[in-house]
Amino acid sequence: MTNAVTTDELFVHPALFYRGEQEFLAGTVPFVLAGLAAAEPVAVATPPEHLELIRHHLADRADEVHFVDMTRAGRNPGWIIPGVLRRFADAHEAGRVRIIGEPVWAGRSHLEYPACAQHEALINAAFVEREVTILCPYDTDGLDPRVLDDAWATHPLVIDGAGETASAAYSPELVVARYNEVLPVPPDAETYHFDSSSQLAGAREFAVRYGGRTGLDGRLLNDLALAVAELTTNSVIHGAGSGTLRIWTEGVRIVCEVHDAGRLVDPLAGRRPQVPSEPGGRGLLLVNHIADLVRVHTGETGTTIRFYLGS
Amino acid sequence: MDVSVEAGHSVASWCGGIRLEVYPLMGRPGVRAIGEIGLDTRTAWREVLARLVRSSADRLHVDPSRVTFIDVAGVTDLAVAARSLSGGRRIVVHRPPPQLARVPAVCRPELGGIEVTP
Repeated sequence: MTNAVTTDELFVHPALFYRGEQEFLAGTVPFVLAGLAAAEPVAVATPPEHLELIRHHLADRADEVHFVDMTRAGRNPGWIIPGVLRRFADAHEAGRVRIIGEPVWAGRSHLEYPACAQHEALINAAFVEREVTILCPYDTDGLDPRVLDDAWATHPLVIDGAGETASAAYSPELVVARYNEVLPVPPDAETYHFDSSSQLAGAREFAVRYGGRTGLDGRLLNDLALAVAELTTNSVIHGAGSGTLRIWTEGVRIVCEVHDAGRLVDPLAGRRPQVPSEPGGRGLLLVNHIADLVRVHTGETGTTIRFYLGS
Repeated sequence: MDVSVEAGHSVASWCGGIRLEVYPLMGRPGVRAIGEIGLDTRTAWREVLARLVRSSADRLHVDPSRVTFIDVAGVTDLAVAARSLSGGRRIVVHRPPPQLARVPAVCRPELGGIEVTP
């Protein structure tokens, strides 16, 4: 397999379609070594078994690479851009940065996958004019063919056993729109309507009481309060001043959402690290940080931001 | 009610049932906050911090141990106030509410001028 990822453009975002361990290693290890040879900072963010494989094959040079367990740091796909990719790239602003990012693996659930696909699409907008190469491995044996189709739409370049192919299907905006799915609410969801800032504390306390009844405590209860406060405050400020909080339980996780009449027009909202001196704009970023998963639906009927908490 | 912040006096902001009271600390430069820091008390909180950083003391103390909730913007305001200090001056936060521990992940670069004590 070749690994001559071209770097004529500032931002380079190829998908690596691999079949089996040998193809994975052939596509990733030379990519890492080429980065090190060019004195580029290199990060590898994959599930732990792939981290170990790459670390083992890099041998002594593994110490020069920053490794991130994507199943932890990237469990919520909405946190991968600010918390994994931008965090590393922004720490090395001089010259090109090289990252292997594997956000989609065979164990991703049907709830997580739409957020994964949108994340892959939004990387292209998040790194415009940045001197960064992000290689995204896709397991062609383990992943659904639909996932591979989406990867052709979210990556301008695809690398496989046959070489590099510019994607004729590249269309990240379509993928963002395709997975902007209506989020059904179960009949047992508990609901709290708020229509002014004076009801924000009430909404937060409503959610905390529900969380407490279901056994949530400590850090998770605090996270629930913070996330609800941020989303309901956003609704009052940006969403026509009112909204609806819904909360329920799915398995061991609390699911909570805030719906309002506003429309989310910035697809990168909550994915941009904030300028240090600038107040505001961190609410959705924080929700992306603390939640296991965030799903968003926005359209003519308003915006729903749903988050899952529990691990 | 109107928000007025005067050195040596208590400050309070009530709005829709949300309350923030701020008192000067005894024996050292700084404030003790009681209540909640959120959308309805944002203006009062910012005014408190703006006045606090005008002090020339090296260490400015904030005791939010009786703040029941502070949102991300409230923590960010604290961080922005700390960043405005020069010459090694710092804001020392005593016994912060639990929300403070979660927020640095989204405003980490700003927290350089803040010292937290348990």
